[in-house]
Amino acid sequence: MNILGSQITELVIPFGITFSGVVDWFWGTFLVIAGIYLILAWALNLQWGYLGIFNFGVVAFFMVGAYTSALFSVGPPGEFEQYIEIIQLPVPLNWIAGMLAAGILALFVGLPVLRLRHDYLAIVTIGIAQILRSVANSTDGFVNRNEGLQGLSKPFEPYLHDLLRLIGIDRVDQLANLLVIAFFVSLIGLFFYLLTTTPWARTLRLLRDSEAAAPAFGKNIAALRLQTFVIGSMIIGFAGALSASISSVISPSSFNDFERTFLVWVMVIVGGSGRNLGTIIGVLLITGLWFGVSLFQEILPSFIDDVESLRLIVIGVIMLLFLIFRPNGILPEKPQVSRFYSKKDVEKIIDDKEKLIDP
Amino acid sequence: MFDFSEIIQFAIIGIGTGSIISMAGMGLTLSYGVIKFPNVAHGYSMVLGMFIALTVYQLLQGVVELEAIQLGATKILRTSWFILPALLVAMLTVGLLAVTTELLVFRPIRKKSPQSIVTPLIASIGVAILLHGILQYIWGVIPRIYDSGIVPNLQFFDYQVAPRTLIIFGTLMLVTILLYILLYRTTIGKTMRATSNNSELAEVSGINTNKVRLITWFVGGLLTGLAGVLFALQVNISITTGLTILLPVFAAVIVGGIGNPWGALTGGLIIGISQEISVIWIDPGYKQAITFIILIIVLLIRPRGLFTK
Repeated sequence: MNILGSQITELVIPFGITFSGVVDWFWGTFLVIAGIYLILAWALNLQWGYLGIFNFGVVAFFMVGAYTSALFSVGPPGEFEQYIEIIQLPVPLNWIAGMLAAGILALFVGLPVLRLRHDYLAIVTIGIAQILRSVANSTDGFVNRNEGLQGLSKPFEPYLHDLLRLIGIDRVDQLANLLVIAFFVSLIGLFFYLLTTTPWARTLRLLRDSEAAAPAFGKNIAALRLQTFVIGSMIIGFAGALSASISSVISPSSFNDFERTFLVWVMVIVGGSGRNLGTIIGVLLITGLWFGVSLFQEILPSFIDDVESLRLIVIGVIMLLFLIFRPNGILPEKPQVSRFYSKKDVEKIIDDKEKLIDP
Repeated sequence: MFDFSEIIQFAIIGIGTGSIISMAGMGLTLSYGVIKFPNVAHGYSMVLGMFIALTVYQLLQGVVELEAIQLGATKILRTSWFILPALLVAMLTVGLLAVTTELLVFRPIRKKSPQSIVTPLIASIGVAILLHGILQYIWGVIPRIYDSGIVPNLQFFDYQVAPRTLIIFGTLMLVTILLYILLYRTTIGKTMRATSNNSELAEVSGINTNKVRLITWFVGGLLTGLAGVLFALQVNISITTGLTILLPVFAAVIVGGIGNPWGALTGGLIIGISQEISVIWIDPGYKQAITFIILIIVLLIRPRGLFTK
């Protein structure tokens, strides 16, 4: 490891990036962020990839999960803070509270709204996020308006931290975050994997591909849609709670539409809607692009100094290219067909499928 | 609690806000009608119009400056009649943008997935992201305001009317008349209405629907650019408007009925007036919430819009 490390270091130093700097960033920041986005993308994949629900309010549920778990973990308000005071719960419990809150919101929103046409649903879900943000910002004594909440308890602190220090690890904070994220990503990944093997998931795909056939099989469409929506939103809320714990400070401005909704959509589209494995690729690619661009700021020529605008342009172009040329993503969904079909027949079905992504 | 003169006063302010929403709504509903999905890049198209007008305006005054100076939060410019040619250039640019996105993005997607509402919608989000990036790259994030100095309000019986409101509303009326003439008194207008109504039937009757779509996008783009510049004159020029303006404009279009410009006109005014009147009773931070409530009510009770048959 040492020999390889020094060789790579020699390669990279002329460019001003040190190997250890990148490694640090990779393990400490990138994987954590990517982990959260992966959870979000999987949840959106459930709603959109499996059932075709157009949820453009991902950030709304994220925010509700984050704020609820925050309110349940923060102590009494300080001198200049005004927010609702609730009992302080130990760490995993406040996350569950956040998850439930997101689920309740999904229930309330979903009941009237899920039966709307796709484009209407998209518009309404965009609106929800804006409304929640303005409520958070404008209501006195609710969530401390724009100043946000701070001092949220970190995941499993101090037990995890002490344990790590015992083993002799230096950067306890980062590693603790990483372990927690890795644990939950694996857990949720397993959950989704198992979910896709259930008859319930098969019914969802049936509903998406042929809305007329589903009632013929006796399936309750409205109930299925609501279930998918609520489950997906609860997981989004959970991701919010996790993320709040890790940053230990939140405010309405940290939940912007763009990064928490649109970017997730790009990941799902690029990765391939419907296949959880493809989602992993999509998330790594887009998160790497989005957050990694600042790493290379030093080595770029001086006229490309506005990295933030550039990454927007790059992401936009990538998204458009995918949508025009490969709308089903990097790993398109494998249609589930009878094993008696020959390979050619299956290819023809995939080809036909490329022509319609929506019901 | 119900002080009528206060309500009317705020309603007058609402006419100003509402006119801008109406204008943007009319632009959106034209493209929504022929393309069957809401163009999420609409907000950023308005912002493009704002920035183009700004730059042309500055050029005409001999100033060339794209990035705002870091000194204050906003940069102030004085308004003068130079704004008119700047406005025209802005409108044309946005119209061109609309046509370009149709040719480069939406048409190829339509060819590949003809039945899809979904892919073009997501594509319009891609366009929005791209546009945001380009706008931010060229003009930066710092908001700017037009400063016309202190202009006294006009008196209408007991009520105060800002001259700005009058100008904006007047422009809206002028545009409405012109649009009516275009849509109902010209052949092109007839083909536009036909394609919006039933594009397969139009195609079968010999109308070149692709060409008509381009024209519709262009006209929609003109209106959008105009709405953007009016917004800049009324409020400010800022990139974030590209997203925040979406909800009121989409709501106006849906309330009025998709594809119906007069519906969007009325819907915009309803929303603008409701927003401003609500300030009497609740915190101004909730204005977007009011729009949302109106949208939800209409979607639940009469989703095809208040003014469609």
